[in-house]
Amino acid sequence: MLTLTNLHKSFAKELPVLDSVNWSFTPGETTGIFGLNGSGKTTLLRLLAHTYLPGRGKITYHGEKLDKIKNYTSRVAFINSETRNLYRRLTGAQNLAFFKTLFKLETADSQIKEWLEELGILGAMSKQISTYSMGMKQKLWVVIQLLRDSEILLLDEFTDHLDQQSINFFKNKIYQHQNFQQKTVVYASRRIDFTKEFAGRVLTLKDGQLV
Amino acid sequence: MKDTFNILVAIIKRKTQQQFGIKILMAYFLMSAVFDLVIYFFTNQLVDQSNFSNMASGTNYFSFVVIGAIFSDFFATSTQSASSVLAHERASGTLESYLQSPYKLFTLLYISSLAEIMNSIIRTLFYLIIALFLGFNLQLSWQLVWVFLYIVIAILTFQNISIIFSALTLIDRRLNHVCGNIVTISIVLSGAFYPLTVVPEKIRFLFLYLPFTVTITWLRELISGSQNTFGILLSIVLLFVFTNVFARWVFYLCEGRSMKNGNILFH
Repeated sequence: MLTLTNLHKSFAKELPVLDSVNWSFTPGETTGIFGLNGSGKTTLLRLLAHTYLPGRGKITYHGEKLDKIKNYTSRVAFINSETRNLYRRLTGAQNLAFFKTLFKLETADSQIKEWLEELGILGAMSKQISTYSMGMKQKLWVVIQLLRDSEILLLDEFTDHLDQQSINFFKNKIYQHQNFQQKTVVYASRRIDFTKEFAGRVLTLKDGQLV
Repeated sequence: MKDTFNILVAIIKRKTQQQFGIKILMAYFLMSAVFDLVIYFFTNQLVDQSNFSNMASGTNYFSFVVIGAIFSDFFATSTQSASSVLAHERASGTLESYLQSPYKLFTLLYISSLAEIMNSIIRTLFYLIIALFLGFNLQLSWQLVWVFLYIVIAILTFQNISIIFSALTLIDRRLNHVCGNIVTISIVLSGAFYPLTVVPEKIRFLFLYLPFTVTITWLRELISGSQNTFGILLSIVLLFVFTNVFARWVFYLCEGRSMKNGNILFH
């Protein structure tokens, strides 16, 4: 259980982005967070990923504060719509090899090959990332992140550059995972239709509050 | 340990793959090294050698200045390598994946900055090998082994300083320029290009205890066959330990602060 208690976050001396947010994300359930641009969705997800620290309040995972949990960050996959996560001058295969070492992935090459083939990017793996389209970069990045098999999946508008076929592919991989009941999935989007399609429960982030 | 080694290899490999025209770059480095040595060699003909003949650091200006120039060049590059890696990863958007990995950002930055200065390490060793034999007429002996051991520990010590600088840029990227100025001042005050004996005694203490002044003085003593080899090696190890502990402390402090400020990802 990932629990937010009286969470508060502001940048510099500006108005708070998040103000007294309380919620518990339950494993085995996908929680959708809908909010307009600038409502604080990404900030909330980065707090859950322990990339940012809260100004006030706390976040706990199974009752322990995040900074007290050993290797918490390696239990979290934060997938955003940024297409700059990969190294532009490297090929797809070189990026994959690097991130396999960085994230200590032990997935068999045959399984990775199968996924890439289904997504239609296997043939492009020998090409430089700078020649990839936005969608191709996003597909490769999501594959790398999903292969980490993390306990917590934070999905931040990650469908932005993807076609419907790829979205369905990733949805299946997430929901049909054998350990889905142990996974906490949070999906954030500025589009209510996407949020409803992805998540069982939808919350709205407005004026720094989760309602 | 095995994992750290694996990630070190992966980062060096990635760096090599990213580097455009590595052969041309290496040829340029070696050529510039030869040009520098030629300039110092001819300058040596113009300098009054009596100022250097009694010094432990070498028998002529050439040997004195070459060691200083090589090390100061390396000092300038290496002490800013971690901030440069950090700036690059932040600007390209790849830092977020570092933060999600099982490794500490400190470890990844340390390893990445070592990979960043690989070219400089090769160039420095090339300079040193030529300079040692031309300037000091050194014979192959155990002393040479100690010199190289000393250089390796000094490189790691500079890396620690580099981490401290990068930690400061985590909080505010403008501090990068302040750190650049500190490096420049350290080199100017270090006596890399002139003997510290020419500095007025009243202000000499300002020069003597800077980390770079100390490391370069020890290196010169070691190269000239100092009797105190063990003492110098012990001192550089202690300096390494001190800077490493201090770097870790400063880094974790600044990392926490920038996570709190919410600017850790942005340059």
